[in-house]
Amino acid sequence: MKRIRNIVWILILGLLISPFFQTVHAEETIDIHFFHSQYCLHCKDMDTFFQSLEEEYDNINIIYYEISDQDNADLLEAVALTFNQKAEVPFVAIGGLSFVGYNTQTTYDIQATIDRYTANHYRTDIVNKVINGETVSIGDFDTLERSVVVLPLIGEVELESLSLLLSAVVLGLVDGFNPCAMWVLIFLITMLINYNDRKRMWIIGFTFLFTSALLYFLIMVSWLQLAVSLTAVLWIRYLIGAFALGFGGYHIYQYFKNRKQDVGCEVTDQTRRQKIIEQIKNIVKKQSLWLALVGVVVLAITVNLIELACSAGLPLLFTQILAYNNLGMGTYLMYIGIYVFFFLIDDLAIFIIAMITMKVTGVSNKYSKWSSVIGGIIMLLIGFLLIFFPNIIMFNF
Amino acid sequence: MKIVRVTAMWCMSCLAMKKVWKQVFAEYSDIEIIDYDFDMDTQAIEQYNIGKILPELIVFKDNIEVKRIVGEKSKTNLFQILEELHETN
Repeated sequence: MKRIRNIVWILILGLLISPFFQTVHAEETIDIHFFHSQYCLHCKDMDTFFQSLEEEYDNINIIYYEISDQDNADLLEAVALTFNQKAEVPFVAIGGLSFVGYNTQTTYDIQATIDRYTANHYRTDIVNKVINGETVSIGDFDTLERSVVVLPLIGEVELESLSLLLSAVVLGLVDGFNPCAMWVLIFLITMLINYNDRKRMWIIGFTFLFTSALLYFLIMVSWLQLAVSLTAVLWIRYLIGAFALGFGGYHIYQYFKNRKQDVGCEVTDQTRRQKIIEQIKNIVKKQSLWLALVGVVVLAITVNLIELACSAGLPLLFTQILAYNNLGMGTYLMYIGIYVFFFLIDDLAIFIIAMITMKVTGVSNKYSKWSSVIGGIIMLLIGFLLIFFPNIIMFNF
Repeated sequence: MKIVRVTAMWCMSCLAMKKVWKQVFAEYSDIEIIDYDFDMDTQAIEQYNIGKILPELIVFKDNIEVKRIVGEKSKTNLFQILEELHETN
């Protein structure tokens, strides 16, 4: 009985301390097999890169194979064949991965691989298996996980920030296309055009757009503050996810319910609209530009606050996505700024075209119908991810 | 044939339809268009019982309402509707 008790104790003890072994295990040296030739320019670049790596990492071991030596050349042939790659230099193999050639992207990929192997236990070293004549199994091969992408002109972009950037642009554009506050801008532009004073038109129009953008920005920042403080609260995530599923589902239901309905401008809330129309008329008629500007700022604030309910889904969800990505405040503000810019871009386009042509160009309302259903689908997706796959929302996949 | 056309200054669809109307109605010299603004001419349009969607075109033949064209229509669709109305003379 005593012996059984001791064995149980040993087992429990083993379970407790095993994680420590794992980190010790992770500190083991990572072999980097580097096939090169003295006549190859890119090999020199790769060598310089490896020297910088050796200063940065103390757990890497770079093994050089000069292929003018026949044995090394034969080994390169065998290793390249194993990796189903061309036997060209520079050729680098680390664990279950190979890298042929040299460019900035390759350096990022190699560094990302070293980081990954350091953090999550080093993979089987295929080159060693080839050297020892062991059979290489399919499981030995690894798949590259890129954390940085090198884009032409733009340069290096963190995958995570690329995904956030893409979400800001797409969600902002889709959000911007909804017609909620658009009618006010159209009416304001139409009234401004009637007064035929270009300078005044530009100033009043831009003030309206800038105030709308600023208000939207401030609201999103306040939502973000709230979201950041609540990311650890699990049921909040489920609640927001459920809200997204509900709101998204409602948008899609509305689309299919009104699919047969004629595409046009829906006339709702006559009294409120009349009040806003009077407000705009007073603004435009004001002799003093300053009074007109005060009026248009008040108009922009009231209209955007009222219409917020109509389009709150996407901005609220975007602030959730940002909050789960744990960024610095400056980065948060940058992404919200990008979102608001793309949210406003269609209004800006309509306003600038109207100012240049002195005529308001009509855009069919079928696009706003589509944007509403696309927005609904995006909300459903985000809701689903928030509840079931939150790590994807954090863009570490 | 007379058409009462009800639009609104703030209505994107009305603006989008301007070009189509111009091209289509240029083909029909016998059609008289009477324009009203939904917000400015509330009294005048009360009699027509305008619906929830703008623009709305009400077609009269011999002062009898024969058709309502609601919302955005493509050029071909609008031509088709007017051709049918002309054939049922």
